[in-house]
Amino acid sequence: MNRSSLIIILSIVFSTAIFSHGVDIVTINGGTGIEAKYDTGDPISHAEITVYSPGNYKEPFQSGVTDRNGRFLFSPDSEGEWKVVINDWTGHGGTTKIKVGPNLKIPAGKTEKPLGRGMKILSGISVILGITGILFYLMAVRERERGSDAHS
Amino acid sequence: MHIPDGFLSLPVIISTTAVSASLLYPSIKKLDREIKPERIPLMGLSAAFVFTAQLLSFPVFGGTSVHLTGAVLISILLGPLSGFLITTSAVLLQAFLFQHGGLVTSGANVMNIAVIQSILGYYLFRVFPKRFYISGAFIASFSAVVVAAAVCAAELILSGTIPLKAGLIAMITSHLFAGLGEGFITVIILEMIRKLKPGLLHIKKI
Repeated sequence: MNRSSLIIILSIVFSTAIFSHGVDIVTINGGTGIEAKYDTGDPISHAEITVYSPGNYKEPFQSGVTDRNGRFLFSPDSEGEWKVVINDWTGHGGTTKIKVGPNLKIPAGKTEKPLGRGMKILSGISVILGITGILFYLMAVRERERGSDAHS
Repeated sequence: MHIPDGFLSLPVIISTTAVSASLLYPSIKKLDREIKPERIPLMGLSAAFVFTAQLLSFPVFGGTSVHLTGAVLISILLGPLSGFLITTSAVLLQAFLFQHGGLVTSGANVMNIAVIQSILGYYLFRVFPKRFYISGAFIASFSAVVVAAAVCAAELILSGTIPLKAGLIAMITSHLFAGLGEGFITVIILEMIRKLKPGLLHIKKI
């Protein structure tokens, strides 16, 4: 076999190796995800996100970081309850579940309005003052009983 | 720093809850013996203050947000045990009412916010002589927040929730800002009390 034949054969063999690393990228639509905010209203941006598929909450299906607006999207590939965990590495974060229906139907967005901050403060203060009032009353009764025991 | 449910592993939950619970019962008993009924409204108001302060957060460098605790301020005014119980009730109430901090992780949150800040912060403040009242209060508040952040980071790292190096850096740097804020607010409020109602600074510390 002469040298040129050898070169031609080797080129054919190695070019198939190059072909096996071809890449095809297409744009897709759809998917679901979350948008996370602190209760100040600021987005939880660039925070660690982990997505778990239904029935496998141990090995992550996907992990990444939220975008600048606190959002993260993914494409579920099976129906069931998906779990998303957000962690901002300062001790804040949370878990949410997304129910994906048959035919991978994506659920509508959550419209339930969370309790406003003013209401939270008001309800908390009310509970505290209520409990304080009860304690005050009970202690006063006890002091009075102690006082009357001392007299008798 | 209110750790949500699911962020801590079981050993960390058990150990932190054990620490908080073991301090809670004797504190309640001691306070019950020593406190007069007249003190209760003041404690209730302080609890309302701590509760409100912890719901106000501000964004810091790096995109996260932190919040004040008011724990050291209350301990300086009312004493470490009172501060501990007031802050504990505020933390538990936030968890039960609004899931600000998880239920299962309440033990850890109580340890980080009430045990470390109220109790340790108070004794740190007491290290300073009287003429350093204000600077002592500032340093105690600041340090208490940073120490609590470090302990919180350790809990999260041991649970595998945050990575060692990057997580520790994130926790400590964000809480350096929170510590400064806490120090300033504590000092400002103490000064206000000194000007407007100085008698409040001299009540018995329990």
